[in-house]
Amino acid sequence: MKAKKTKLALWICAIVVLLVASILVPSVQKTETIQVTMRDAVLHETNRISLFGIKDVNPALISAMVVSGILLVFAVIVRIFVIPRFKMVPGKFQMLLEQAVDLFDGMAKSNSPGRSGFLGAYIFTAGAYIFIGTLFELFGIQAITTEGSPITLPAPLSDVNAAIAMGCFSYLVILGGGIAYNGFKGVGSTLKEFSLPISMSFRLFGALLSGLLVTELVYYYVNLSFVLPVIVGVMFTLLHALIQAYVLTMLVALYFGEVSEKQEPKKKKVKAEAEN
Amino acid sequence: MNIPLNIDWQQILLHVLNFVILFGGLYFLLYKPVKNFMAKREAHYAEMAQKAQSELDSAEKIKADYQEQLKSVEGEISAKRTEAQKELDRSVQQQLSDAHAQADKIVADAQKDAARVHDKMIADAQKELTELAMEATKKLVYKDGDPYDAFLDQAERGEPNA
Repeated sequence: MKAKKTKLALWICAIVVLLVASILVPSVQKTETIQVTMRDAVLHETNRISLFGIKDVNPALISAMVVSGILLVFAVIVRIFVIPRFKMVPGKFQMLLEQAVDLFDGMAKSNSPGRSGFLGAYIFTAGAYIFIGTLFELFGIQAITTEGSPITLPAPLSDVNAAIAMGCFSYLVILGGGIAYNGFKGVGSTLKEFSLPISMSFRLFGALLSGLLVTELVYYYVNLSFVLPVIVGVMFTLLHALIQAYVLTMLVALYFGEVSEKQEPKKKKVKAEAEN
Repeated sequence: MNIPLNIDWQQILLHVLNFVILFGGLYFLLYKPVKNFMAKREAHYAEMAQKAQSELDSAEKIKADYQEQLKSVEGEISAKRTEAQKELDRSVQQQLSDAHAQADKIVADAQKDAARVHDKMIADAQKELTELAMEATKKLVYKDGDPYDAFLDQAERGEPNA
């Protein structure tokens, strides 16, 4: 009991000392105003990162590559060390993997029965990329800009280029599904939803950017950096990650199913009605 | 051309390239193997279920056969019981008729014996009566000696009543 009290007292002392120190110690002079920070978070005009010395790119592209790298390394490790040891009665980790695969496979099957193979794999990847990519900003991985200042890598999809890439590529996948299963009619029904790539892109961009802006705002002011980031950073990011992954995958599955659905020829219908 | 929001087509393509690489990697390394394993397990359990179902079906068939056999055995038992009952009834009937016949014979024999005894008794009685009558007659006749002698005596004496 006494030992517990001592540990508690030490912990509280450490918090108080760090709090006082962080307030008293002067911070580095701000190099940019909040307006500039926010504007740069949206437009990425100032803080750019060199891509292997070939080209200066937005930090989100580096984030996207890091996220992909993490996911691929994880997949390789799982493929080599975990999947060969899969059991008929699954353990906790096996259950988690199976649930993840089954969730997207089930979503693909329910929306596009009979043509769910590619769709399931696509929405699985998109879901994993959006979820992990959104959580990625929580880790605060640092990179050096071309100007030599450090920058925290943002979520990949908080960059409009990444969001447009995701939205347009998803639209192309839907269009591909329409062509593969319905030919010219599939193209027609996909092109009918011409606003889809824009809506998907900007939905992702808006959702992720809002999170980024709130985080930037919170971290810009030292006084807001206590306690608040726990709620703003962790809770909001987790919710974002789940909601955005679910929304995009669900939309892609839904539209893919719609355009790849076999359509009855109208003439036959008329004939059948006439015969009746 | 200055595109609003700092949109960069090259970076968009790089993002797409990055995503396509990720898609291929995750598909071959994670999605497909896990899905294959799940399909294999599903097939395994389906096979087990099918095997169990076929065993259940064969067990049901055996049960039905046994029940059929049991039913036929019950029918057989019932038939044999009926037959045994008939046999018993027939036997009882036979015994009864034998007993009746025997009783009739006994009665007939008894009646015959009784008749014979009766006849014999009557004959004996008649004979005895005859003898008694003869004896009595004799006694009456020979009360006064031998009548013939008496006749002869009377005749010798010349009596008219002789």
